Amino acid sequence: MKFSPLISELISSLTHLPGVGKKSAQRMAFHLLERNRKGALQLSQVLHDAMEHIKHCQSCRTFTESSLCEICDDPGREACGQLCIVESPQDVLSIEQTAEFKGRYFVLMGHLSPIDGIGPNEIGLDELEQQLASGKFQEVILATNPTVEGEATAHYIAQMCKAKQISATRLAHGMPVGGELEYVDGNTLVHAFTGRRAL
Amino acid sequence: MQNILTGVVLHRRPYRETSSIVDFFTREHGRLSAVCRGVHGGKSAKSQEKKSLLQPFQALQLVFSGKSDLKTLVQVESDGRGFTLQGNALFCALYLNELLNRLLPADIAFPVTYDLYLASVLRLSENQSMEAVLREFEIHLLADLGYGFSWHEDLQSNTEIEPNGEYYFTLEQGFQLLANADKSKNRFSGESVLKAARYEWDKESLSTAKRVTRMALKPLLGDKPLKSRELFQKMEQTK
Repeated sequence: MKFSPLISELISSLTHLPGVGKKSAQRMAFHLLERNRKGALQLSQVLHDAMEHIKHCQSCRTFTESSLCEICDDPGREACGQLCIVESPQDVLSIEQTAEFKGRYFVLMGHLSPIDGIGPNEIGLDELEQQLASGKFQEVILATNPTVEGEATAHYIAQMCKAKQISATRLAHGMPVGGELEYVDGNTLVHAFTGRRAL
Repeated sequence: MQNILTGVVLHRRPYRETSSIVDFFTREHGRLSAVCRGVHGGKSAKSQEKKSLLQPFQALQLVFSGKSDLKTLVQVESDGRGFTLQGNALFCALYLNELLNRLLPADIAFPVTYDLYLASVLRLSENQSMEAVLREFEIHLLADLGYGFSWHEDLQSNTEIEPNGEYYFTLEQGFQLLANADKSKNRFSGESVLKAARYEWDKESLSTAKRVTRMALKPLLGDKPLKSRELFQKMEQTK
């Protein structure tokens, strides 16, 4: 059986969502048509508005619909003089939830990965350089992921900071809280050993 | 197929919700790609372990299944400690990975290159002269891929290269004595070429080797330039 053109288009559009194949898209389309037209209309409205209006924050590059995001707009955040560099907007959320950090963020939207063709300019490091040059920050905290690419990114930014005489620190690697040593993987254990602290 | 292969990760890219497609460089089968399940976002100890192993610069023991070009990773274990690379040595090692990923044909074994790769990464992790490590690797890789040329002989006269002579380099062929005072850029002193051939590194022989390997690699890499070189260019500007 063939669906009407509009239904087919709806189904194929739904497959743009991550993890949604043709079958799930079909299920979603019919669910919305049969049971939740109101919700679907709202979804389409919000989806449209979001795609039209959400841009990158001018200062930290995270997603926002205003020119500056809430964190960058807060003068108290800037006064602290710390800049935390993360790979993705989700990372900002995770750090915010800890309520540990009071400074500002810079979101790279990725990491250096030469094989994928992602170099320094693709992750906005030219922009970061300008911000560092403004002299607003005394410390840069490198919170890129502990992967090889994240490490390379951190090192690259650390060199930029060095040239501008700004101190750069890297998040510690180590044992997870509540974990059992027996089940911790070898590489993490090596990091935990090399980064051990005097008590 | 319960063959245990030894290999390293060259590159990973996310695939579906929690999987990755990983390009491996194995000693036995050369470059091959495989789907690795459960390596993203998983919180179990097992997926954590897998995640930490499937990083570049870690020698691995691997078991694959599947007959198509894209295999499935069944089992992975560490084959010795991972190399800890920091700073510029890490950039150099990423450059090696990019080079291999771009140049190695799939499914053809290059055991000597594999061994040299591990040795090179080890040397980089010990902070030995990075340029020398890279040049030796490039010279060897060109030869192993079948694009080698003689660093000892003049290609026209088949005589030893004269230390006092000036030579120019022809792609895929080798060095040739420069007849007159040609002011072209493609110009190398015989002494530096001979030194490079013996891996005797000083400023001049390193620069000769760098220029020659760049010229030789260029047609193999095609139009897309190597991204890792950008990391170094910027670094030098900021210095």
